[in-house]
Amino acid sequence: MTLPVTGRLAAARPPWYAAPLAACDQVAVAPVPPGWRVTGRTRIRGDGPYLAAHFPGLTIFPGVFVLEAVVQAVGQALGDRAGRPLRLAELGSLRLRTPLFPGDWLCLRAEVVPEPDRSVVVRAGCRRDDGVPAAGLTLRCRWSR
Amino acid sequence: MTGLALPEIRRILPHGPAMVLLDRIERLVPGVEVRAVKLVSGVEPCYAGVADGLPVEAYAYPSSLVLESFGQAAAVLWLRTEPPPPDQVLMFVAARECRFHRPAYPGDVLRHTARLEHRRPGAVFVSGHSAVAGGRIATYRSLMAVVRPAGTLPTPRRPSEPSPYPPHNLEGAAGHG
Repeated sequence: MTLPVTGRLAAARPPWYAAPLAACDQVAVAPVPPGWRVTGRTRIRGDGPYLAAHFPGLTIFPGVFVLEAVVQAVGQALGDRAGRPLRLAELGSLRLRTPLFPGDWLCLRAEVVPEPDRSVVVRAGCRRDDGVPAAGLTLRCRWSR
Repeated sequence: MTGLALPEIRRILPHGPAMVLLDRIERLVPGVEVRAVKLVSGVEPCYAGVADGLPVEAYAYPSSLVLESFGQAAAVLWLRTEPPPPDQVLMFVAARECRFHRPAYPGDVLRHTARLEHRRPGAVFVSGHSAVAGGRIATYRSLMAVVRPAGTLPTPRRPSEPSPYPPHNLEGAAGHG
């Protein structure tokens, strides 16, 4: 654990490894046996080299950045292992329900369950700050190169 | 039809240059398959925040960008198969069973193969894989995109400021979507 397991949101650090953006502003983790519940939120911005180009004239938060936000939030909550960050291994399902624009908040909640092979299974729901469902996804992550 | 160079890719995709994650289309058979190339370079924006002195694993190309790049190849395939009318747009809405076996690094050439699996009115399903010289790095069971009239898309709302949800309590804001 790199975060105190209080369930309180703390400022997230930007990723130290290659990433298209710092996709999670705040993150919290609480124990929910057999794993953890991770919550996080991000203010959608229109700046940055990728976002301004998706799309010129009307920035829409790319769906793959929602995925990036969930992986970064869970990785930040659980911390690195042996100097390796948590990485996406499988995307079981991703459903994008409504687009997010600059000014929106992406609020995510993820149920994270450890697996015997030292991976974690993540079931995450993302909503806009007014409660509108934005995305649902299931994935598996592991600490690897 | 055979390949496409970057200027034509840029004309087909709506993305700005920094988000066009394809360099060349090697082979395009409308309605069937596309093979696309993306060179991973250490000067890409995703590497700008990596501090000096870190091990090579810090330079793994982000899986989210591998998926985006593959999705753009799939978009080129579809847009050249059945170009939507000017008032309609293609939207990526779902993915299923995508596996990322190992990372790519700067200097790798990503080669995407995307196949059109299924079409129904207003929707398209694509499968495929991405490889580097050493073998496959990702496989994709299904990506789904839909064609929607541009006028029916949600538009940016005027965001409430601050967020109605206090930062210590996300229960009301974040649930399974």
